[in-house]
Amino acid sequence: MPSPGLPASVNGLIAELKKLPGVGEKTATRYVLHLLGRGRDAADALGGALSAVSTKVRPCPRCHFLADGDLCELCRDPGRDISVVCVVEGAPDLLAIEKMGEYRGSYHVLGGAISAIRGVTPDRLRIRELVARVDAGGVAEVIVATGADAEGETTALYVRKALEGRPVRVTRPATGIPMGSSIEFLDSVTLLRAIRGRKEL
Amino acid sequence: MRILSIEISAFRNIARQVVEPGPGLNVVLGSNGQGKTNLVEAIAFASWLRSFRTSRTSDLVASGGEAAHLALAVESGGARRHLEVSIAAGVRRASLDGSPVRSARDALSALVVACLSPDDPAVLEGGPDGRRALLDRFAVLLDPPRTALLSRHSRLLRERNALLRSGPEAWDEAQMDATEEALAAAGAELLAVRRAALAEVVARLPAILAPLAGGPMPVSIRYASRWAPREGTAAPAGTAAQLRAAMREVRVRDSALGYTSRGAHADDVEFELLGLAAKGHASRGQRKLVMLAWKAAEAAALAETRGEAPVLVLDDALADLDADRQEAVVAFLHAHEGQSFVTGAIVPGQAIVGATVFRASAGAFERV
Repeated sequence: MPSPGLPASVNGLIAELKKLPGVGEKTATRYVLHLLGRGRDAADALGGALSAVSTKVRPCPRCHFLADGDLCELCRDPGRDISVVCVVEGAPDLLAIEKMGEYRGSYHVLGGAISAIRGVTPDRLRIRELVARVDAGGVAEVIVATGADAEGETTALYVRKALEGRPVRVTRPATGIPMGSSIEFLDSVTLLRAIRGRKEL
Repeated sequence: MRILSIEISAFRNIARQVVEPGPGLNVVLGSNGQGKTNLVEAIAFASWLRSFRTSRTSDLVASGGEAAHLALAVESGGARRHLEVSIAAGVRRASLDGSPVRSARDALSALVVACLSPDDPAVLEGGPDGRRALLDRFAVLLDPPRTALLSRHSRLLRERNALLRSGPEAWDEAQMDATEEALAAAGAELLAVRRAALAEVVARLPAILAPLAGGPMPVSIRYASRWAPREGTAAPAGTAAQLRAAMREVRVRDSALGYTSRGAHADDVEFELLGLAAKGHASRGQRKLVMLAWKAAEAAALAETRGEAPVLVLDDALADLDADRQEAVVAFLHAHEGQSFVTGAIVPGQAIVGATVFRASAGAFERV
């Protein structure tokens, strides 16, 4: 509900900010009043940054991660191994893997996970683009790093099927024993997956 | 595992109470409507983060109150744990030792409650869903991360049903394949989990039931599935492949039905008493005894697998039983290792001897 007594434009901005995750009426109001208190320059700088994002940012034509111009920062990096493609549901997943600092391959952002309930059909994801990327050559391995939940599993199985018969290795990140835990108290589901996904010592 | 103290605020008819239960048997006495069940419901809620009486969390907040609050000191695995739960505006929040608890599986790591509610014996008479839920809840108690498997399975089932309803012309064949493959894998896992959990109960139940019933009471409990291979004849991967093939075969028929006809979601747990199906043949008292023995078997299995006895809660356990059966149940509770709670309007005299007794009156609990 709009705060009584505030100008319509201020209430309008509060309403927009409230749409952001984790921001409620109180926080949104605090942000706006703070911004107004800092004067015109601060508001203009924020407005400029926002409009730059909305006009400049486009999906990277190769991996569909966020890009400013043509290819994204990651695809432009000559140090990255483009023969390995890690498939993720969305940008937050990519950032999580990047944060780990260990992965030096490239990515493919699907833009979601398959769900009949939510009306996300496979053709609304960038699976066709992934297949085209593999068909274009130069890809030796596709790591399907979609979630371990219902939608993520379904999407992984769909991707595997879509890539079937192509000369590419399709892998899935291991799910297994969390570091520091003892086998005795591990749940059977995790244990079963860990045993199935065992590797050479 | 035992509850050292529970502080309850604005929960149902309990305005504010601190209850310090005893280490063994706790008897909660009182006339109808005084708050006996509310006390044990609060205990079970702190463990399960949901009520055994209602799915509307807002019902739990005292009328006129804004938020209900539970704070428990629990001794678990030799450590003292602090569990807090609050319910406000239909939303529950919980924390364990000050860290937020996301799901029941975290709360269950500190406090495990095996609970018999007055409605439980009716599952022997009702549809298969109640009996599946009974078994699934126990499977989760044995191994709390299984909640993830249960929710993945039910989500995948809803995914397939949504595809089925879109019709054979509309669904993407490869999407249906992928959904069925994932659903079959989850279904096979669930089957294995349920059979293992049921085996834990079946191994212990007859020995617990006989003294309660005053003699051997032949009972047979069987996992009934129209699609699954016989127990021990197939590895999970083989079971999954079989379920996948079964679903594929009836895809078009299922589409006409509008739901998935085969799978773990349609299985049942069949109870037979004295050679007759419990459904339609067992008396009210017999159903009560069987469910009491089931919960006691759960508690015994949990004590063994988790290394310490869970808290056993028996709400109104003695109703519907004759004097001899009541005595037998009381004797069982006294012999039970670990903490237990039993509520009742009237309990036999020997229940009170050696027990910690609380008298409930208008939402207050006085130790007597």
